[in-house]
Amino acid sequence: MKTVVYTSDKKTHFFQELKSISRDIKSSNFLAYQMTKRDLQSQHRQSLLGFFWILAPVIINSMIWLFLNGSGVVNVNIPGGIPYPVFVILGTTIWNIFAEAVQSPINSVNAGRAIISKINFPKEALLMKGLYTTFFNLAIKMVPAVAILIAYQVAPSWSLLLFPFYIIALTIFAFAIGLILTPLGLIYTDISKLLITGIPLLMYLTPVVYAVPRSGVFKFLFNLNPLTYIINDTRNTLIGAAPQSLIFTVVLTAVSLIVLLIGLVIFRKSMPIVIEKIAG
Amino acid sequence: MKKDKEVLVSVQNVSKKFSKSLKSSLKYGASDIIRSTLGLSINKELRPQEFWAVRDVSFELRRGECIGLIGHNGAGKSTLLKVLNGLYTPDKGQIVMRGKIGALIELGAGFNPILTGRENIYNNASILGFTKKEVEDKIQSIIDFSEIRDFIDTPVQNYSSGMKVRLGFAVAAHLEPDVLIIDEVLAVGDLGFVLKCFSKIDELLPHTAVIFVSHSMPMVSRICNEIVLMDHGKVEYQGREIGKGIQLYYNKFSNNSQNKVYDNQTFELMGVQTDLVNNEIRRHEDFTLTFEFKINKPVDELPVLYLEFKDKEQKPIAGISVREHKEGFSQGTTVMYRTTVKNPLFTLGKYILDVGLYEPATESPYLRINNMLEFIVGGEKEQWIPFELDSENIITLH
Repeated sequence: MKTVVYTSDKKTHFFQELKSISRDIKSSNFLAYQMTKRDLQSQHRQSLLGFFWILAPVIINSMIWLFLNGSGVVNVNIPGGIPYPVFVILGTTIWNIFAEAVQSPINSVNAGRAIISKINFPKEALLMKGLYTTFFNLAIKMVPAVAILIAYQVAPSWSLLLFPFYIIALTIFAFAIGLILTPLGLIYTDISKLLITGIPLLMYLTPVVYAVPRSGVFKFLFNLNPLTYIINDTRNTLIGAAPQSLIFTVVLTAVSLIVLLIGLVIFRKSMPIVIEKIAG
Repeated sequence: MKKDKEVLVSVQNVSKKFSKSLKSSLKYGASDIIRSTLGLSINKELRPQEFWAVRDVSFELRRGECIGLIGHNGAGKSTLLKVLNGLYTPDKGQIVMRGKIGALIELGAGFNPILTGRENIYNNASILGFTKKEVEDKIQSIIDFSEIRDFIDTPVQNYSSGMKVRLGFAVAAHLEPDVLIIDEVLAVGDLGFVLKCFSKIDELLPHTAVIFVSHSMPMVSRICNEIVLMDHGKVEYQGREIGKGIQLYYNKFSNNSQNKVYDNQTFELMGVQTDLVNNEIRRHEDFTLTFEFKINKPVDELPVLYLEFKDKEQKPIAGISVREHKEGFSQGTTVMYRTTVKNPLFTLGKYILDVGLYEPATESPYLRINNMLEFIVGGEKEQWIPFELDSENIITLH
């Protein structure tokens, strides 16, 4: 018979925790699937346009930049050989996937506030729900990206095979950052506010709607930003160009995975504290 | 009850502290998270602004047993339940739970208002720990139990609160837990459903350990075989004498204030007398109550004096009507009613007397006073029932 012990001085080391996390993740797969389904159903049942709203931010942001560039208000610097609409739509799509994945852990736990204080279930299920939702939305967000590639007849090359790796690397990187911030972010809302306001700013320090500046202090800042490499490369895989920072991305993914595991252990240890503080 | 039934819940010296202010609570929470991340020890004693919400509670529960947690609002019952359910970690002590735990802490938590009842069954069941196959096997039985088949494909936002509770209980009851935690959740349903829930709990009880929190003492006495009375986080009484625990609980609330709930100025109460010492009634010993009223306005006929005894839950349990047909008396006269209660059969405890004067023909009131007198009934045994009937008993063996 399954025995659980709740005690004040729980002495478990890192790997024991990881073991129980992986057990819980396995057992709560159906739950995470149900919660994802429930969220998707309920979010879009009350709307006429439904899934279109997942795409809306990407489309609007791209249109703003197409307008700014087309009207000559700003003259953006883009690498040669790619039509600007392709560059900007792919850039914003990838950026949007990143932005959603960073906020996913904190948002999905916050959305579950009502139940975490009443029912004891593996809280990892909430994180998985966030991840599932992120991937579902990702698939939908790729629709305009694919459309624009077809419209401009951009031919992919062998590097397209690397696209799944890059997009997963980006998601894991973002998710790991989000997860590390989650426990404190659940207690103090400052952190999610910081994410909401800081992410748009970060977008302008990343080659999303324009390329890396050719010189100056901004070039330096862009080069410091790890997202510069992933986002450029992810876009490259779609437009048939060769990826330039594959090794960097592999290393970054390995680091992200370690951070992710640490984040999971911290999350698991701090959830009882969080529940008691935020959810009456 | 067999003593060798396995222990499913073992609670040892559990304490839980809370902070009184949100600001410090968040600060402690953040520092605890950082400390536990870095592997530093967390301060287990009270820090400024903190208090013990649950202090040093211990008990053991075997399969087939039911423990009742009672106490005033804020006594720490729900906090203790959340600790038992693993939602909060105890600050001191240890809890060992064996088997599948089902908690009816808030029924229908996590129901999504836009989704239909059927979709919510799937969601709620999966949160409670059902596997996909279990839900599919049991969905029909869940819908039948909830008795809302006609509306099962309607969004839950259109359900009444009673219907939501029905659906929530129906799901939770199908979990077949080893340990069942119930927190005051059955109050919303109608009588039919409450009865149904209780028969379901009765059905589960023989092979389940139940932890039951309620303010309804009839329910507690109906299913519990051990009681824990909590007051400000501490255990004040713990034992198997349910009646005693309930009496102690009732003694926490006293309402001695006399309330004149109706007075049309016709009669004025002049005095009350009893032949009791300290208002203490002894079982089987007759006692007399005397009431004196002054007639302030002309009336045709002498009113009926109605005495009503109430138990602690304000439930009327016995009444006496004192009446005699008398006419033709003048204003300003004093009228005395004397009644002798023969062979009172009350059981040990506190009882309250309400008094009313009514017009004999129409039964419309002249004067009503609640909580006129409070009686204590002596006796040896604390019992839940208000009366123990006199009986002649024969037991034979063949």
